[in-house]
Amino acid sequence: MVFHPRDPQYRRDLSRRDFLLRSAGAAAAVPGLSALLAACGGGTSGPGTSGGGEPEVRFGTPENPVELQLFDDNQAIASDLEPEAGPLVIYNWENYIWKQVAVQDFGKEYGVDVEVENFYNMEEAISKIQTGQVTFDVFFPTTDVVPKMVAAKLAQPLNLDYIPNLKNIWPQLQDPFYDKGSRYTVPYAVYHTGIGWRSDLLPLEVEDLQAMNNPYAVFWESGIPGKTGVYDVSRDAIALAMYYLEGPDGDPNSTDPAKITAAKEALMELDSQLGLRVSIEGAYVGIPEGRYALHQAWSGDMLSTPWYTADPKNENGLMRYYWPARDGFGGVYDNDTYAIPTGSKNPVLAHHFLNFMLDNDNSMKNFSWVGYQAPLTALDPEDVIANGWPGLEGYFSWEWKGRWDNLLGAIVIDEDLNVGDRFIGLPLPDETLYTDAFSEFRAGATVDLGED
Amino acid sequence: MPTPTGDVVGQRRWYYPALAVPGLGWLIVLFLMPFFAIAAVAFGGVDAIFAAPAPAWNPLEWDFATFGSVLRELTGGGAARIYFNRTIVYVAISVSACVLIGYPVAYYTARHGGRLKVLLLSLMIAPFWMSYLMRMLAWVNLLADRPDEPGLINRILTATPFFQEPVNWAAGDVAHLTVILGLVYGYIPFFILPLYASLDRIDGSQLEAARDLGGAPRSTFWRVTLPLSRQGILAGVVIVMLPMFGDYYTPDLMSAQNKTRMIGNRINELIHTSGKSPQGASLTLLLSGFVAILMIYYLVSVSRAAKEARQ
Repeated sequence: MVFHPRDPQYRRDLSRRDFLLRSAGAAAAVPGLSALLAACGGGTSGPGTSGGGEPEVRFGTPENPVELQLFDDNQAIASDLEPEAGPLVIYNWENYIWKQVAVQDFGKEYGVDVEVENFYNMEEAISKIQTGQVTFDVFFPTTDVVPKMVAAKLAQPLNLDYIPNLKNIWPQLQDPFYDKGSRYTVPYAVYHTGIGWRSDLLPLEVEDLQAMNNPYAVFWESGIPGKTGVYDVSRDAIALAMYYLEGPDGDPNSTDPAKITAAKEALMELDSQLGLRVSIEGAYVGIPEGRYALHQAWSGDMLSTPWYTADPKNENGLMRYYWPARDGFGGVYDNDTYAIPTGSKNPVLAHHFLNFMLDNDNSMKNFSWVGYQAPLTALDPEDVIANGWPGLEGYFSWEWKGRWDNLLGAIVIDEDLNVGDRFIGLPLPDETLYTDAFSEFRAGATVDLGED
Repeated sequence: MPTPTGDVVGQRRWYYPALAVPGLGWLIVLFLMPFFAIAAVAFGGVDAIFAAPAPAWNPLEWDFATFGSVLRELTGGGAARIYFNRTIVYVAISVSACVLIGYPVAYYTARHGGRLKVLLLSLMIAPFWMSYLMRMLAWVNLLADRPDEPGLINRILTATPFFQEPVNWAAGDVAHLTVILGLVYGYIPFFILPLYASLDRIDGSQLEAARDLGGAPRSTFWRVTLPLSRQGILAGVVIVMLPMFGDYYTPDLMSAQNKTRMIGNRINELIHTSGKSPQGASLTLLLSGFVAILMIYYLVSVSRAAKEARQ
């Protein structure tokens, strides 16, 4: 299951018609792919070779980074080309980029029209790109999807000559483990998965969680019935229980069935204890609305909460976020990427767009609205909260205090990458361990669908 | 008297059947083809890279193993069975509530609405001006339980001597009630409208005849009005029951708890889980089969009623 912060639960669902269109499209696109991927079940692999060869899906890990394959029949554009006339078509999660920046500012600078198309989940997006029903110029794949897109030749290699602003990004993510050398992607947003709550409904401060033997136990020890939630994402929810059970030794990429089963049972216990709610919007909408007191939370979701309170002046200061990995309790971080599909009609313009969005000012402006930040070296959380950002006065510190101050810990810093764990893409049989365990947690019963 | 020529007879032979062509086309494009596609997914596989559905379009290549395992889970004690049983209970209670609430409303509008009939009907349809999603979200706010700012329902409840604190509608077993409330509210207009049409068509002279024969108002209702509106009730029940069986967003929005998930939630989960699309499509086929049985009963009943009317 592909997971993502901007995956609104009540929009994830496809109509039957959409489902059928996807199926038909996949059928048209897939036969050529089905011969690929002998290595798909083989997990990670080492550095790859350039120049062609059989496509394979290469899942990298921080310990074993991968160079994604280059193919003779899928080459990057040449340098020094003039940008096309557009319109540039961006394909993104809903509300995951600020149109003021992406459409108005970029369009004005390059004299082109920019269109933003939305998808509701990664499966839908990939299906549409596969079928070629519509061509897109810029896409935002999750890192687990990137190697699959490369193997299926759905993404084109980048020509980094057009993207000098990549230097603005944290060095670790200029050369990330999932795509060494940024051959196919550059980073978009970075976030971690922590704990979010409202301090009026659950009267705890960050220091209280820091003082616990295991902060993840707050769900089991202090959760409020009917007002406690975890994400409706198998890997995230199970990772939470793994950290609860094993502390910093919890491995969110474990393929040990016993550990996954234990995590599932811990979630089921929590469910029977509280009537646990399972949602996607519980953190960024549910907490500010007071429907949830405590929810597993992506950092960017919590930074979005001030937009959803009914009484910002009095309520924004009540939002709390804590990422236990900073204190050695373990935790997950992740990032999304920009990629250019092979079918792009404006590949040069798309490269310019990536460079434009990686500009410090443009990126910070986008962050101020989206709540999800780019991994910018120039971003100093405390300075931004205290002084704002040049040219963006007032964007990060409204006249009433508490909008961002209390959420300082939700801004990701580069050191977080050294203390947190990272979800890595898993081959389907291993991923199925997680999805089946999650299904059983949700059903309160065994699932036996006869996987082959 | 001139007789039609052979050509004219030939034209007339095709004239009325030709009127069915648009409907037939609609049926093929929007029902049979999609249904075949679902079957192709259910009996197909998944692609190697994205684990996306790889439908088997050739029926000779259909593989029924996945369908069989889903069927076993449904008939055994697995997850699908739990969801299915819960869905049947929710739908049965919700449809019953629709009948109990909707019948008096439709009856009043049809029999006693007078000049206000159009206004009353408009008010009934008014909720459709908003999307279902928004209506459910509105209920989420109406049921809000924050101590400092409770929703309207909790304000009313706490004003009575029976509730000291706002009710948390998402906690405990009351969450079942919350989901049923959502289902009833969301679909009841679909029940009322066909029933209203049925009640409005009842010939007043039949009611007068019943009274002339000494029938009291109550017995006239039970022995004349209710039997004559039976087809309207059935139509309303079918119309609300079908979407309820496939509903998944009402439990998600109103409760988001595991214990209130319906079969639609399970299907939704499967088709969004890598490599599980065939299982999701199989469950869809099985649910369709179950609903088809109910539809057949309805069609037989309608056909029987039509025959009785002709006699």
